[in-house]
Amino acid sequence: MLFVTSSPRFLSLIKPLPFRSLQNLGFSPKNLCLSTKMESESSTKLVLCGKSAVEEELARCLKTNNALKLPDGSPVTVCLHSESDSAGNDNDDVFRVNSYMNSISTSRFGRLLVYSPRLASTHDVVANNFGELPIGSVCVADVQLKGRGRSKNVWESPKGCLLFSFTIQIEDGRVVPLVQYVVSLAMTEAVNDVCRRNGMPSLDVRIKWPNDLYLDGLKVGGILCTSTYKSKKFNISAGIGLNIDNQKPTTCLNAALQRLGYAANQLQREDIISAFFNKFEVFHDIFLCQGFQALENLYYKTWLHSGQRVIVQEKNESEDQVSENVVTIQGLTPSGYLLAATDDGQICELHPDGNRYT
Amino acid sequence: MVRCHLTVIWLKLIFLLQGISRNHSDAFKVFAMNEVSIEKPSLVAEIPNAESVSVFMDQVSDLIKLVDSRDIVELQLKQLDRELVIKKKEALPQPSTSAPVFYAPQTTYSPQPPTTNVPAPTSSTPSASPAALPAPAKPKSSHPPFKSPMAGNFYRSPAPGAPPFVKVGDKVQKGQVICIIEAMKLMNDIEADQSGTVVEILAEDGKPVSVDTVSVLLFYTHHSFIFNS
Repeated sequence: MLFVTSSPRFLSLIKPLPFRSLQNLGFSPKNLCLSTKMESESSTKLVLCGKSAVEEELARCLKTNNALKLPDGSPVTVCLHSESDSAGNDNDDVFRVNSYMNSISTSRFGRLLVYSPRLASTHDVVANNFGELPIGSVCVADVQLKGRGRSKNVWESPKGCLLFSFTIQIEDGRVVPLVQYVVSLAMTEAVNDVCRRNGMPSLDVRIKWPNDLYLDGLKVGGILCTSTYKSKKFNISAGIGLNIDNQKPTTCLNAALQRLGYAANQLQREDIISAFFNKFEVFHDIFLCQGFQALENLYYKTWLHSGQRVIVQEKNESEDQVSENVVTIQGLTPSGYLLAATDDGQICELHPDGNRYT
Repeated sequence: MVRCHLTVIWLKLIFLLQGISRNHSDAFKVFAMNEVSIEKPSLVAEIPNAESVSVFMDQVSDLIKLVDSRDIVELQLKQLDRELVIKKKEALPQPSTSAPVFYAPQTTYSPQPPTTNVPAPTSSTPSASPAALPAPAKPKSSHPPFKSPMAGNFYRSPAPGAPPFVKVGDKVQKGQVICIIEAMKLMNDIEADQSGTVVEILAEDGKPVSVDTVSVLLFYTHHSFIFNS
């Protein structure tokens, strides 16, 4: 996993070219022929599966109507899991759809699954088909070719990562930025839950505000939320990348368990993601009914920052003067920024800036 | 003595401008081209003390920030026999003319409501409300405002250096992305909730907008286009 390049805090809205290969290969007839072949091979396979007959019927409609599109317009091959050959496949590298479906107990989230062995980005699938997919639908991939990080950052997505994106809809703009905290919390709690159920010690996965997951001081995962405000509603696409079995370039959950003396591959992607949705649905309802305050204590127990001392750089009127203040993190403000206090008791609000923080 | 004081103030003002430019790099060009100077020391009847200078500088600073944050091209304040003019680059017909700023330590300045789409300066009296920033909403019933649905930083273009989503005068279709609002690294594409023409963009690129106040008005759209859809 992890980030490459640039700090601009903008989303790239520049669509990838559909026929990159054509561009790269020049114009000789031989190359052109090759590129045509590559195009036909580059069709993205999407496997649809529903929890119940309702979602199965929806999946069938999506397939029949050819409703799912990719942002670059590249070809898509849609099939139903119930009709595909891979049903019951136990290959370790392949997401076990049945295992996942049997483990979720939600009423809205994660019940329609779009699985792909290999695609550009799960985020693009759910964001680009937001209106077609029922709210809460999830897209899972074994490998991503252009995994999305924040801004133009690339999220390296090799085998062994849990990679998925799902949709949420919210009306109140004031709570939208807090959604990613709820997502982060549901993921750390899901990991705890799976460890507990399997009789393993709880891995100390922590939240690095605002949207990263850390284990033993190293980044193991990240959350990317984007949204589109449309017809008075926020259509949120939440994407999560978590290193379960892939140690590069930092660490992964299973490596930490091995260090504790457990056998390899203890944690499975299907267990973590199903536990995630089971947790997320509960947190989501609490969040909407009671506000984030109801989850705040758990969040503070899970994040890295309570009582943390940070240096805040403030540029003063004169360009030469950069004042540095040491502040102590107290928590979050109601709107979701960091709440900090200076040593003389002044309260201030800290905003994230670019890729770095502190 | 008076001249000495004014020099100090002038320097402070320059620093102030640089400070603001530093913090908002997109505003740098605008500010670098701004002309602000202080003249006519003879108008100052009393020698200002340090405190009143500081108060005055804060007020000027607020005014400059105000002008910078809005689509105000020129701000002119007259009070008693003192006058303060802040002009942005766009308001200067020739680069040589400098806008005079008259210094008056005992005067409380109140920003006037912004006069929009007026290239020439209009002389007006300061508004009666002190301290509070003027509401940028100009009650123009024929131009329904587009309000920011959330708090965050307002971005006019999809990437730095990229052309803006919309410009003043653009016809916007319902569902078209008109800006990005970013909060806590969460990027929100904001779609127009109705079709119309962009009459004015009140929010400044890269600056915070709020969801609670009327100062979040972003766009005015024409009724005539609303019914087209």
